[in-house]
Amino acid sequence: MLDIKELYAELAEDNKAILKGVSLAIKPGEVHAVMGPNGAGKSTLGYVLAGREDYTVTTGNVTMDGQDLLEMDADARARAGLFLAFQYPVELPGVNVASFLRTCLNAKRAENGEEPMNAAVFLKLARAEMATLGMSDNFLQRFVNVGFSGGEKKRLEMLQMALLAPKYAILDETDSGLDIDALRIVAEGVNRVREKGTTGFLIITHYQRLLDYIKPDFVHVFADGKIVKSGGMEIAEALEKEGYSGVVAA
Amino acid sequence: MTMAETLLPAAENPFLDNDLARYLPAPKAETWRMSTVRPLKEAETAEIDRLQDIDIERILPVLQGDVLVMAGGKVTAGMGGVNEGLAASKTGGYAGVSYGYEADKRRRGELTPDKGTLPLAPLGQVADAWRGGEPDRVRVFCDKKCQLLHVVHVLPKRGAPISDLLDIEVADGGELTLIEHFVGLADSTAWMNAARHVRVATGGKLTHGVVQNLPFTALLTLTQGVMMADSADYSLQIIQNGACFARVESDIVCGAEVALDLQAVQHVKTGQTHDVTTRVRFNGPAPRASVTQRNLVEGGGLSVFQGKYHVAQAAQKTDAYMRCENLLLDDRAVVNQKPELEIYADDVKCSHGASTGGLSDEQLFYLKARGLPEEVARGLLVEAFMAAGRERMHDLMKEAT
Repeated sequence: MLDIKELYAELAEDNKAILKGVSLAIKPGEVHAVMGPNGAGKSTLGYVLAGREDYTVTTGNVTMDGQDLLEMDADARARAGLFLAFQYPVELPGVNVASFLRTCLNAKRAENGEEPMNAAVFLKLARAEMATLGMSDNFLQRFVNVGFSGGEKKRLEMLQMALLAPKYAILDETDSGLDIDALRIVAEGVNRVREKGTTGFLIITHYQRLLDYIKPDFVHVFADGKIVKSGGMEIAEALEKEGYSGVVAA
Repeated sequence: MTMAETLLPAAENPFLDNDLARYLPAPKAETWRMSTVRPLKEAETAEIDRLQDIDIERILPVLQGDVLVMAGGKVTAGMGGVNEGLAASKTGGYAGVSYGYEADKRRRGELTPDKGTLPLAPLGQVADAWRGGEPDRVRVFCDKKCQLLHVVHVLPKRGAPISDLLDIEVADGGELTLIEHFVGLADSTAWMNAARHVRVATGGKLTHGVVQNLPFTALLTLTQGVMMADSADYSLQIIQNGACFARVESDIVCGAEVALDLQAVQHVKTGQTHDVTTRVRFNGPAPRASVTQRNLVEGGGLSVFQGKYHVAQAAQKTDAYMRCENLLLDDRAVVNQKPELEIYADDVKCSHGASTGGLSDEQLFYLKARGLPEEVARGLLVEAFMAAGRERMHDLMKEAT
């Protein structure tokens, strides 16, 4: 279980408080959606969990299957099974997708005491996943995210998630910048991982439309650095009708 | 009486006192430069090693295509079988390209040492004459589309300055990829003082590579004059890794409608100075011209980017840019860059730009968030920064074979 308890965090640069007491428990196989207005701190929650050094955790604790997440570096968290799909995936000029994916996969395999995956096996696995995401083979030779459209970047994030098979995945506004078709393909990618029942999801989004494709088990409303309301899909529907101010005030 | 004494009496030997400084460009003549020739002054002027006795295969890169080896500035036979035919007949070649060489026998009286500029070709020749052997001037001529030619320059253990002379001519209809490799014996403290004359005729295309992998103790000055006729196509790709001091300097004169592309990649570490200096004179419209450089610098290394475009009044509609990207891995790394534009035409597009910084925190976090340890992530980003230049060289070799 990914267990977040009374998490407070601030920007390291100016000590500005962003997270103000977040508590949330995500079990493997569960899908939790976090919705909230701009500036509420949703993306910060993702970054803090992933171990970004721009933030300082002031109080609270987070455990992942019993391990103290906050004591681990970002890379150790990832190898332990945490995955953050970036809202704005970063360009890596000079790093081609194939070697990047294989290096990441083998870093995780090394952590688990497994042999590195050879190129042939890796390519077969990657191509199979890419086909389901509607990605052509030539993606493998391109530099990571360089010259990618918004949709291509998000598909690459989903490809990484599928290959790394995390225990817990945080999807930070994965729906932003996607057209309807791309949204559906990305959502199907998430659903395929979800079907295995071993990954817990934290889906950060502004809009209900992604949740039409990925039906969450829980919906949380995030405002001013903490969760102010929790429930099921009815909350997402209410947000669509009444807006954040209406739901938060109710 | 030895051969060397015949050629140059000891009393007139300029290197007897081992004082190269007297012959190097004066500091005043170098004030415009961003690197200093001080390391050259300290180069040893000892006798050149006998490279024939060395197992050259151990240091030659593995290459596909025709290979010509110049060791210590001479075309030398008997090194693992390379050059056998060429050394015997003084000519060689294959479909579309021919090459030949002859000893440059000019004597001291015919030479006018130029203390103001590098290369010190005359000075080098005097030194070589004193040592009892003239440098070979290799000429490569191409008038058809032809295969890749590698020229490997081997630096001996000691000797300074060692002349290394190569003339390249690509005639109308000629298309040549020529890649020069600079390698040296381990711990070489020698200084190679190389000069190039390059001519690309109308309709000719030359793709020219320079791969400098000298030992960290060696020195290189490579100075070339390039003449591009109207509609000529010349691209130069430079990769510098080794040598404690390496300056690659090009003077390029362009006719009208030329295509010019110069790319350099330098990895500079503690104790090294790498300098790429380029001056381009556009005498006619040049719609496609670029000079770009990438510098990866660490420790107390110094990397230099110096470029100048001179656009003559007749060179209207010229479109040329210069760009330099620098990745500094620590606080002691230094980059000196000086782009210059001197424009006498009023309808041109010329620009220059530079970026300098360390590794991106965003990129590092992205990689760490995928499970890569800090040192692996840093290594991947550093390698990626250099990859663009290296891949282009790889592509050149692939395309040409």
